[in-house]
Amino acid sequence: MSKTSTQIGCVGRVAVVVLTALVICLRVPAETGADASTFTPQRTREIFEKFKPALAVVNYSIEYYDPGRQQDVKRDLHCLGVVVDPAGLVMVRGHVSLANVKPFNVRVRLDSGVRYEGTVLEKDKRINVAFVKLVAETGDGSQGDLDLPFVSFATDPSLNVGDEVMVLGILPEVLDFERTFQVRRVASVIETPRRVYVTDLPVPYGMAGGPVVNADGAAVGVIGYDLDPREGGEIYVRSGYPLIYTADLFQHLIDNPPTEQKDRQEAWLGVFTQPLTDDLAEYWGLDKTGGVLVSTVIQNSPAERAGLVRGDIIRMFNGEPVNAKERTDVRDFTRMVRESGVGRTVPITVVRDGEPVQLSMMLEEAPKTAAEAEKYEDEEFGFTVREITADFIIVGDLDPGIKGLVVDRVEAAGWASLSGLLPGDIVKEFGGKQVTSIEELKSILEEIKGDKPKEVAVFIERRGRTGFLRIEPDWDD
Amino acid sequence: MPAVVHVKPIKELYLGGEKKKVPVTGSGVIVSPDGYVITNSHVASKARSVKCTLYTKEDVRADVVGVDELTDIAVLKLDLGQIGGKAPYAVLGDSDRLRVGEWVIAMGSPHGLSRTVSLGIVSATDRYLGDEATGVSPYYTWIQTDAAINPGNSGGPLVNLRGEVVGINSRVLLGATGLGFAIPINVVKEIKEKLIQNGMIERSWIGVDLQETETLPGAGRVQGALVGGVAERSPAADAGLIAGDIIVGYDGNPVSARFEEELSDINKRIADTPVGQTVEIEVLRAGSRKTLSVTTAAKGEYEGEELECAEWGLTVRAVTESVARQAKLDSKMGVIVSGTRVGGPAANADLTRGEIILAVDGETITELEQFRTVYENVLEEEKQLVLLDVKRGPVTRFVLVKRAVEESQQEDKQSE
Repeated sequence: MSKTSTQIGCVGRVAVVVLTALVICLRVPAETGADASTFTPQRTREIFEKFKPALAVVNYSIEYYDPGRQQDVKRDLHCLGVVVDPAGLVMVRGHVSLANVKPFNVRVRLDSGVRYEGTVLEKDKRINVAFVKLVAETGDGSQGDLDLPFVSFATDPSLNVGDEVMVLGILPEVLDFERTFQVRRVASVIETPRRVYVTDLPVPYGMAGGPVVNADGAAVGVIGYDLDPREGGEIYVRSGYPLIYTADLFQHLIDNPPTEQKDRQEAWLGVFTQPLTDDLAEYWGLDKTGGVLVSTVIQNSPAERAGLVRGDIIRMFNGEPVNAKERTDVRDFTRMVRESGVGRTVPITVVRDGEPVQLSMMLEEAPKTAAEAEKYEDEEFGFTVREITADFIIVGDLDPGIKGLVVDRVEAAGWASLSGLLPGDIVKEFGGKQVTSIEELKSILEEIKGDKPKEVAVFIERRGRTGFLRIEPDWDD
Repeated sequence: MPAVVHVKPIKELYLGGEKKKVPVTGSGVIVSPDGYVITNSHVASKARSVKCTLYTKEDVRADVVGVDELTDIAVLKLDLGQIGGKAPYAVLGDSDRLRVGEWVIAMGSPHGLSRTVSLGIVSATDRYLGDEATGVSPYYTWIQTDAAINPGNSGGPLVNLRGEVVGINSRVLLGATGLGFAIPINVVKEIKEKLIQNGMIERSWIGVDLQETETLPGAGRVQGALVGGVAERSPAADAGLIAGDIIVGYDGNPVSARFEEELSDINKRIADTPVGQTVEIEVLRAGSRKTLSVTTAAKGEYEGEELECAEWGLTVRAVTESVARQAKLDSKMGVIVSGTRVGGPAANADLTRGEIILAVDGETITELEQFRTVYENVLEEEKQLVLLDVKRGPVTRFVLVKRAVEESQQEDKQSE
């Protein structure tokens, strides 16, 4: 459809100066004097031996779609696991269960050398840890009860800047995943959107998810990394710094492990918002106590039905004050809404034209996202489509009544790909027939496969413009 | 060869939220004794002043007579008084008679190396690169040549062995060698005349995206052009054209675009129709013929005018029809942010390129000149905080621009 050629005008005599940043890495030598460390050699050995049996190696495979290569890619990976329940619950870093990646073929090897198969449980959005449930196999193939060595976490961890901690983990594969540890010091505390700790020096990758033990020999948390929302995380810290997640953030998940089934039921308002900064408050002559400013109301949303309008400032939600002044505060508000319970009616106080206005809103379940949409793959034509979801309409600024299916992926050199079909295209007609649902497309495809025509026309929409594509199936292939 | 000139315009561009002067270099060819020069619009557009170096190495000032972005052609006029009133000029040939395999010579200033000549053959005469989104003309097919063409050759002539100009070298394919593209001289002749007369080209627009009929199974044998899409609020939509129609007749004449190379012909016929004229379009819909009347509208500007708001560290551009359509605006309104200066008030307020400013302090922005007035009033009133309604994609948000504090600080220092 497009050939890339470029204008050959030339910017004359402009020197291009490339600044090469000089990165200086300072390595601070760790104190080595025995009296300077809480962890004496004797103490260290004791702690290490105590926790070592609960450290496991988790091998797993993942399958994901690489849009660049237009194909599914499979990879074998491994990571550290910590047994947190003697009945066979292993906690791992959340990367095992990214939103767009499917883990399978999970095998767990304990320090004792015993191996188990496992399944990855649904990951909690709020914190980047995941869980693997072990499948106990006895000699006759029936389920058995497990009683494994495990780590139990201190429920009231108190860490302070300057505290020394021991981090346990595994060495790389070339060193046979041998168990190991390192000593770190808490160097910073991050307070928002929730309290996490940062160590003075990096922690090797093999220790991601590893238990963090304090001077009293109690496990207080694990090493974690936050995730991009697109990867299924809630907050995003692109720093790449390892964080210490203390046990208060995940103990409830150990006590009540997530199921394998997705159990969503999150509420949404259907608005785009921004924090009421002090500058905006000053501009409008309002108190500088913060709030959530409604910048856009999505059509046909609960917010629209409740009578929220653009420019409203939410000051109270469900009896709780809303004092957002920065973007991170808005995230707290979003979480509050999500967890307020679908089906309930909640009071909202907004400031409109300087005056308080009371509204009440029926909380509705957030609409399905593209990641959760129903999909259909046709192997012969070499493409996968999914239903049009609300988020796709909102982000693409599309007509809410738009009909069709979204191309999710195309197989490289497949019939669909050769015709020029691209992921993101909206298929409106296939073989001259309107397509409004996956069921409809399936029956159209079935008919086409019976007739085996030489050419099939597809009517699509791409970036707001429509056009036809011609698929030439090779039925003998 | 004496007619070839090295074109050195100083462009005024809006970069990084500021108006900046940028020197560029290209090529051109003198085509008349009174000093008209043909070059590319991408060389001469937005130029405040142009200097041309002649074959004699003399520098001569030139005025920009007109530019046409859609065909990438510009016409300059040399100030011949400087060199005694006469200029050597080239004879224009007939590009329709050009044959594939024919020897051709490219002349110009690749990478600023003036008076460079390279030899090659015509590799193709009907290369269709028409995709308006990339700014490549949909109104003609290109001459492709393997004569060495490089950045800086732009606007220079492609000459046949009889010494006649047959094309204007304009484009290369990225990352390839021996693939240069020239605008056929017959296209240039027509545009040149119009530019000399009016300084601009007026075109008609009806709002259809055309495709070759070969795309639609069974329609390949039909003489016509396939309607792939119809723009909302367009003359074609008003006339009742729909996607899937095959246009078989335009203004009484048959249309034939079985392959994409043939699309330039109908695109050009639509564009060349006088603006506001009602034409009969005959279409084939579901096997039966229908005649529809379409009243053409003026094709909107290729790119809107630009304005620098120095106090805010911001440059904005007028919203054209196509921008309005892309941004899903109900009508042409607002101004679009074309750049922000790092560290400036607009950048500090998180304004970014591509966003559309719909209102300033509650006043709706309708077009660029009105925005200028609103902006100037805001400056005059010395407001500390200015509220903008800004749209990006589906989201309209509030943006507060804070007046720069540098000035008041400077005043403080002076008073000390």
